[in-house]
Amino acid sequence: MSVIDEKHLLESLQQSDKKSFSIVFSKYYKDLVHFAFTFTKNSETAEEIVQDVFVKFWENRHFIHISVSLKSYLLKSTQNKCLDWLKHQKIREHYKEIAPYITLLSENNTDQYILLSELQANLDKALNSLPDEVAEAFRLSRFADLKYNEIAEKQNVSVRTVEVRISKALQLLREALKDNLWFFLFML
Amino acid sequence: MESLENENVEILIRRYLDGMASVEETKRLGKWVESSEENKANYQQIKNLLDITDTRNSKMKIDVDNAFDQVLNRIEEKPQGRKWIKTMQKIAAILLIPTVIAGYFFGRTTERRMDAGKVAYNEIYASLGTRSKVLLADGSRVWLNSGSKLRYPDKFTEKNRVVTLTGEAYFEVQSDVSRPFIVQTQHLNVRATGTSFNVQAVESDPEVNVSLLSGKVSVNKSDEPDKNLAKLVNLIPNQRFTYDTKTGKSETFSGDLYEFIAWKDGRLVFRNKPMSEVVKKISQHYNVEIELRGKELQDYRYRATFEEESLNEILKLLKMSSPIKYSEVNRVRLADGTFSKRKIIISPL
Repeated sequence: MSVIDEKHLLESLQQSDKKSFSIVFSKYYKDLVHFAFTFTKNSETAEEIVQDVFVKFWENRHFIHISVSLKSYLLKSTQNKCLDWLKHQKIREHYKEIAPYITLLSENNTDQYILLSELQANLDKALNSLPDEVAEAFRLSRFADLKYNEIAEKQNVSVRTVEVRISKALQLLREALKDNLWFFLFML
Repeated sequence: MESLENENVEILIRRYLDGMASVEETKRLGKWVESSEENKANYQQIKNLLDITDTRNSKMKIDVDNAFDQVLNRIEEKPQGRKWIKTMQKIAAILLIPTVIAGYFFGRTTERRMDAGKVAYNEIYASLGTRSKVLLADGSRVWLNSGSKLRYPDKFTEKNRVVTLTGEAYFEVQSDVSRPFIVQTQHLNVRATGTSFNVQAVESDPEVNVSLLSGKVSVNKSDEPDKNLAKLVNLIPNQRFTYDTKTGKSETFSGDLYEFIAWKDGRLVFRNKPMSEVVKKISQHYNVEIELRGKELQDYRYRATFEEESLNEILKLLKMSSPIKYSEVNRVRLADGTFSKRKIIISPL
């Protein structure tokens, strides 16, 4: 969806066109649930929150002004709701001590956030640019759900080396995806 | 990376995001993140990547259609009385999208060829799932329904205006009393001067229908040379003539005919129609195969107007308002490399 398409979409949505609403919904719902899940760690709550976001989005459609992009607007709305939700969670015993940091560590830069679907569209390309053993360690850890000692055994290296490889993968991926970010922003 | 230089900050972040970090580690990470904008940006990028590559997250099953239904339910006011009809009509009125326009472009395959005389003939075909619109030389307009074919001359003769139709079309004929407008089909000819009417003569269907909206038409058998014997009926507006080409039986219905011509406006109108017919229309409109299972569904009466919703939206609305469920058959790759036609199975709840 280009920037222009998105503008048209928003305009007709503001004129109460439910078709446009359904297009926006199908485009962003999944990614937003994945995003909300990073706060809630519970899929039902994540879905509830994102559905609330869309209901509000529809109800307030006439007053919505989008400055960056629709994506970043929806991410921001979702994040605000998630942070509220976090604050209302039962405070665990040790929570008080780290409470000042929870919001800080939970917040995302919604203007530059990479969505799961965007990552998936580019991940193979990005991973291909990494050294094989680094990409493999990353895949095993993030997609095959293996523990570091299991990866170490599989790759026949020390746990420490696995940790280094995964750090390396993250660093290289961030660089690779940073280049792509501009591409993303144009596409959205 | 500031005070955490010696420690691998990414490992700390991973521990924290995995919920493994101790209170001490969390505080240390927090302090590091707030100590500079750069640290914060780095933290957020790493967190972003780790969050979306967390398999608990990325492998989550999310049913978008179901979620959308729930959101729709919440933003729709709940009307009194026959709730689903009103809901349906409202949705139908709102969801307008000009997919028909695309059909006008993609649906046309025009073929010109010279006949024995000097008149050039055109043939236009509306591909399955699309509808086409044709402007004839005399200013008459024709809407061609999905899978239908119209053959017409570049110019009409001085005596009459003859076109040949296979399938279904709606005609708005320019008035010209001196030159009758004749639609030839395999079994019937429809003769008009200045009128609006719909002719449905689909090859695979033994029933031929002519619906008259305005003006006057006469319907004749096309294979009967004797004029008097060929004559079947003269229609007046709001009459629909049905002729069974197998048995030769015919009947005339009088009443509101909009549901029979709504397709030209991109609408599907069902007024108390059995599910079997609803399904037939939908499959023609969207070029999709639909299998209706269960006897009780065949006769389930349905009333709705659809206006250029997508097939998925229509199925969803059907599901909301009648005791059905549906599933889609996986498309298989055929020997020639193309994929089999989309197929939906509708069965009772």
